[in-house]
Amino acid sequence: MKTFKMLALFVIVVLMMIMGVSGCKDTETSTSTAVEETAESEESTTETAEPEEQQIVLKIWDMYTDVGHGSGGEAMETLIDMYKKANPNVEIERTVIGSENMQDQVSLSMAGGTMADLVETWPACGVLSGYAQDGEVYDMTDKAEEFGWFELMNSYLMLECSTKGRLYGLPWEFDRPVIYYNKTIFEELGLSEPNNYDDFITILDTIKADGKYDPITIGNGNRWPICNLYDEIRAVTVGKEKVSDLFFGDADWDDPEFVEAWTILLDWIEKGYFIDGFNGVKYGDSNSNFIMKNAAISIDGSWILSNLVEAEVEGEFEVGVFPFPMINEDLPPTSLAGSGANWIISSKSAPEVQEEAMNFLNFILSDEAAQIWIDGASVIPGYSDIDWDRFTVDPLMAEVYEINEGKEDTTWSHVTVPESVAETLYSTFQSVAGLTMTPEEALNQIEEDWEEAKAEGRVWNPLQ
Amino acid sequence: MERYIKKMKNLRNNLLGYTLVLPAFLIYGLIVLLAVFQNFYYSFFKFTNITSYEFAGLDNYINMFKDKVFYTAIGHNLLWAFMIIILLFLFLTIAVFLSKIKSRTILGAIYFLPATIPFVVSAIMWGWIYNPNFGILQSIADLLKLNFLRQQWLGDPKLAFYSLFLIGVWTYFGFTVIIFLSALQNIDRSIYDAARIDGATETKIFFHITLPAIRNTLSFLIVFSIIMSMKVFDIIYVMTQGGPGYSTEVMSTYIFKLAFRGQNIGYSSAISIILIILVLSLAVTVLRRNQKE
Repeated sequence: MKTFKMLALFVIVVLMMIMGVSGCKDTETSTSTAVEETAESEESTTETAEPEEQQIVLKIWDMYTDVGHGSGGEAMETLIDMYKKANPNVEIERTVIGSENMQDQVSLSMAGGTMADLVETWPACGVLSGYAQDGEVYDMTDKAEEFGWFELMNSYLMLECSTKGRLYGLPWEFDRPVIYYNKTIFEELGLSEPNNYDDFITILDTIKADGKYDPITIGNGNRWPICNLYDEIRAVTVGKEKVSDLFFGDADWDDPEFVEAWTILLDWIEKGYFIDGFNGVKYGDSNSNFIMKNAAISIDGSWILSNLVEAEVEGEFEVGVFPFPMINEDLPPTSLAGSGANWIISSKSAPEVQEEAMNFLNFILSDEAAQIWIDGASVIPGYSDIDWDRFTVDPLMAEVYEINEGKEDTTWSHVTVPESVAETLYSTFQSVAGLTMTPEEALNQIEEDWEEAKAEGRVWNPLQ
Repeated sequence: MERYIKKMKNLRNNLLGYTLVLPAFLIYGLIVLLAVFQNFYYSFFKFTNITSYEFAGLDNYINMFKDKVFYTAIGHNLLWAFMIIILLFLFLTIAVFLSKIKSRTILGAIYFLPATIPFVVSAIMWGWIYNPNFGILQSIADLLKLNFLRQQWLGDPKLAFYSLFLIGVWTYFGFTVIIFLSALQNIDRSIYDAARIDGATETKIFFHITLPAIRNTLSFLIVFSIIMSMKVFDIIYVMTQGGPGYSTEVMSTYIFKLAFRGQNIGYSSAISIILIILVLSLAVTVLRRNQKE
């Protein structure tokens, strides 16, 4: 009997709570309805007096923080403020998401239908192609033609953002590979920039023999740096045509020429050119190693410029750059180019919001906005010809792009293949670098996954 | 009929209890059980991208048994669990010694400190300690000429797993010692006094009084350790992402990579189901064994 009394009491309390909550909700609803009605009536009064522009809320996700690598946060805020000032009817809600998490965030939000209207993400090629094939991203082609983007932007980077002849992304970060070196260490050891691959190997041997510094710093704990390095060696060993044949033709990953590129890299590892334990050292720690003057050379890319420019400004050391020397000198000079980050627009957003997102992108490509961006973020948008008279840039930054100009461009594998193949690429290449797998075994596994992805139509196909 | 009436009576007596538990159960069902069922459902589909999938029957389960990485990952989880259970007995011994000294509270608190640090922070901190170029271990090795400390702790596939396990132990050790200490302090001192009067040695006291008295705590910690070992993720993902190669790959990192990097939701769901079955069966086996004893 006591139990029933308690139960009855419990049920009464729960019912009272439910009624209370509902009551509050009703009051809130009616209050808000009243406010909305008042607002509506005010709006209609205003409309009668003077037609107002439609209020648009644009939700943006980007990867630019305020400090460290990718520190373009402040510049991005400035650009947003400028755009809002010029367009008072547009409200921009910005969210910063770290570059490591952005890919997951985009995939999950697409699945849940909650992605922001405009997102700055990575990579392009295979991954962006997957979004496009699933109908998750807005087709920018028509508007891009209207804005003249196809003339303004680098055609190769625009292809990286295209699928079956349609444009789905705006290349915003022009990535270039580069070899950074510490000028002080080079001077101390009596070294100068190499003219060819043999010179480069002599430099590495000299630094190694001296023993005071590590020849090359690389941190493959994040798994992609060794993939990048392999791609650079492959590009200067087999050339653009052969690499294009791999991505768009009949060449196989385990082709003897591609195996040969790995053999060169393995030779470097066996000769001890890299820092101790490079296969487990994080990318950031490897960069610190270079800035701390423990290593003479860092084979990296333009994406790390902001950190190095900052270190140079602070007078820590003087950085020099030279291009990756051609290993096969019979080939035309070859380099890599990539859209390190690209803007995409959700296909689920309202048409007027999509249009506003395109207007915003067109605004940030303007000379005035781009200058703010380049100064603040040390990042070059994917323009076709970088006219250095047009923008004021740090000399180191200009040099990174100039040394690669006029070369045949190919791309980095791990941002070109679909994510499932990229995962195999990361793990197998790290095993090869750790000398627990042969290049043939690794490339063979990648070939299997690549063929599967091809059969399922998941590979990047920019033109058809 | 009599049994039925008894059951109904029991149900009536427990009705308030069930009613009070119901809201929590509904929330649990919504958050956990629904997700598990959804996971089970997805395990029968092949995903070509995160939003497009087609029915694949038992393909994902069949493929799992041909997948070498799956075996490597599950092997690492089991090895982690096995090693941590063995170490539990070492932690128990430490707790027994601690229980006999006055400064046990202070020492216990010191041991517990690493457990208060988030796993991700511990992982970043240990990453610097292990760094072969400017890490603390490297500096100690240079200072004391201890060459055996000059290792590629995270870069060598033979060492990486054990280097990560050491961090796992560092974060877990204090927690287990505190639990053991509190269990030991609940044992009636007079039983020990009586045993000593009867001439029992310390070893006999440990095996015949201490161990049986804390059996429930030990069994809880074994089950908890198994669960923790099977779902270990943060430390590994932050420090090595399962590498070099697959040398530190565990089920959670593999599932994460398949689902969110490889967009292979169906296959990762199938592995998750196997993980759930494995954890449940190991936990139930230990608990049943304990109940029988």
